Amino acid sequence: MNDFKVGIRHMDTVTVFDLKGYLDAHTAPDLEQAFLSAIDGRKYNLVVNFRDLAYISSAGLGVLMQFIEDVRKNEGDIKLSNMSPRVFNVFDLLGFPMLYEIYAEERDALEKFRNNVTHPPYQKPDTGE
Amino acid sequence: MALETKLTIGNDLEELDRVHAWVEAFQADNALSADVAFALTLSFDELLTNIISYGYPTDVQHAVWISMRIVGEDLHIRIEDQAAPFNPLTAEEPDIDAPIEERRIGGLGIHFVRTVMDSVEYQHSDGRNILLLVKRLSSS
Repeated sequence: MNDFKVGIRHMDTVTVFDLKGYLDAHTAPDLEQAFLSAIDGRKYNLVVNFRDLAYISSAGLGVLMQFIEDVRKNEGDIKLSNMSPRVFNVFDLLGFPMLYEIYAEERDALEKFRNNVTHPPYQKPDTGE
Repeated sequence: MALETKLTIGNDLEELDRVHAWVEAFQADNALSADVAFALTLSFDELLTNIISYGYPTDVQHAVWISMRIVGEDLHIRIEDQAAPFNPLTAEEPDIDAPIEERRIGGLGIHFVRTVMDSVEYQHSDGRNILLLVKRLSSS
């Protein structure tokens, strides 16, 4: 029924997570486990491919937030790709496009790692105040 | 066309799968748009996760009663539980402009619900927490 699956691929120095199905509070621990296994293996260049993800709730976003600081401290990043408009909308509602690099295609995210471009430091948008 | 549907679930996150299927069936029966179905699934998910995780933190079995009803151009949702009185709407709004190190994971769910629904109200009566949500069908 509403299954969730995480596939893991290794592309050069980058670990790619392929998400499929429904990511909610019930299935979020599976994603958490996948991140933990990568980080335990000292892999910090991570791409999450959302192509086959039908649905995400705040529990899924919570997993991404849980690991991002640790990953960036180790000079890596979690980059996101291939979101459907509906899944992107969930990220957008919480201002995540300011915090994570989101790419239309996985290859663009991989390219960014290949060129060794690190995540830009966070800057508060100039509101003119 | 079933204009009203009810479901009783247990306090276990596994029940979210059953709720997803139940929302999908109601969507199909009433030809609701994918956007409306998404708003319903997200709202049930977030609110039920809160109730199951924080309202009933022990393994003792409890029931949560949920229903959907179409009233004219509106879809009404009702969620009832018998956990300790708790109004999730009083939770602090997350600061969605904050940098990552100042972000907190809590409070995101209720923010989603407020964003995708047209109204969200809380009542406490007869020992039950009652959440009443409305989604307008015409605007989507």
